[in-house]
Amino acid sequence: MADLSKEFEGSIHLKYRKREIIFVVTVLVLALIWFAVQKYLPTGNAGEVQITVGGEIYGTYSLSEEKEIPIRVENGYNIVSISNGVVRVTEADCPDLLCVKMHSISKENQAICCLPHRVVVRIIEGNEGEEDWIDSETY
Amino acid sequence: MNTRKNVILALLTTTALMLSYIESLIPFFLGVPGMKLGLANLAVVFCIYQFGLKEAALLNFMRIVLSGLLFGNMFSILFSLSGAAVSFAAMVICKKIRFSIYGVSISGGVFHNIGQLLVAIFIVQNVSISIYGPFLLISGLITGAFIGYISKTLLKYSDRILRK
Repeated sequence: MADLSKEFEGSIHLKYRKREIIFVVTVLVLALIWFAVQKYLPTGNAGEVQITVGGEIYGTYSLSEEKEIPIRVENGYNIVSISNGVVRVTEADCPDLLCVKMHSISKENQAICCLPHRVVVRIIEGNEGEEDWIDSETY
Repeated sequence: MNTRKNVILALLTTTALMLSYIESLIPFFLGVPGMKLGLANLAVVFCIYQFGLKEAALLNFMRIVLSGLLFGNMFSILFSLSGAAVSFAAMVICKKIRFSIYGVSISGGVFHNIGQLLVAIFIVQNVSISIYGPFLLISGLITGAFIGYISKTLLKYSDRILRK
C-alpha cells in the first residue's frame, strides 16, 4: 500500500493551518451575511401562496383562506393544505416524502419543496386589498 | 491492487453503505431539507487518507449506486452523485493545497451541501429554496469537523490493524 496517509500527523505548518482557518471563517461569514440578507431585507406582508412545478406557476392562493390543494404532476401528486395562515404539504406519493416531513411555513419567502415532483410551495407578498392586510395583522 | 487491499476496500464500501442506511433513517434535522450528518463521508475521508484518492472515489461511487439501488431510486442516485462529485472535488483540491484532515472533511461537508442545493434549484427551476443556504453551510461546517475528528482518531489505529 502506498504511504499517502500520515502526512497530517505531527506538526502542520502554520501557513497551511492559516489557510484552513481562513476557509472556515469565510464560510461562516458568508452564511451569516446570507442569513442576514434574508432576515432583514424589507418584506411585505405574507399574503399569498404560490405553487410552481418545474418553474412554471401552477397556482396562487390566498394565505387567509382554508383550503386543500391537490397538485397533480406527471409522476405523482402532492396535497397542500392552507389553514390558519399556515401552509404544509399533508400528503404526497414521492419516494422520500421530505416535503411532508418539512416544517410548515407561514412567513414571506419561506418555501417547501418536493424535488422528485419539482414542486415548490412558497409564500409571497400578498397584493390583496386593505381589509385582508388588517385581517392578517390582527390575526 | 492486491487481494488484501481489495478485501479491505470491499469492507469499507460495506461500512459506507451501512452508514448511508443509518443516515437514511434520520432524514434531516430542524425541518431543513438536506441537513444531515454525512456519516457516509466518514468512510470516504478515512479511505482518502488510508489508501488514496482513486480508491476513495471508487468507494464513493459504489456506495451511492448501491445504496440507491437498495433503498432509493434513479432520482436519488443522480441527486446523491451530484452532491458527492462536488464534495469530492473540493476535498481533492483541499488536500492538494495541504489542508489538514479537518479542513478536507469540512470542505467535503460544506461543498456537498452547496452542490446539492444548486442541483435542487436546477431541478425545481425556482431559486426560492436558497433560503436554506445559510443553514446548510453551517451544518456542513459542523458535521465536517465532526467527521474529520472521527476519521483522525480512526487513522491513528488503522495502521496497526490494516497493514500487518
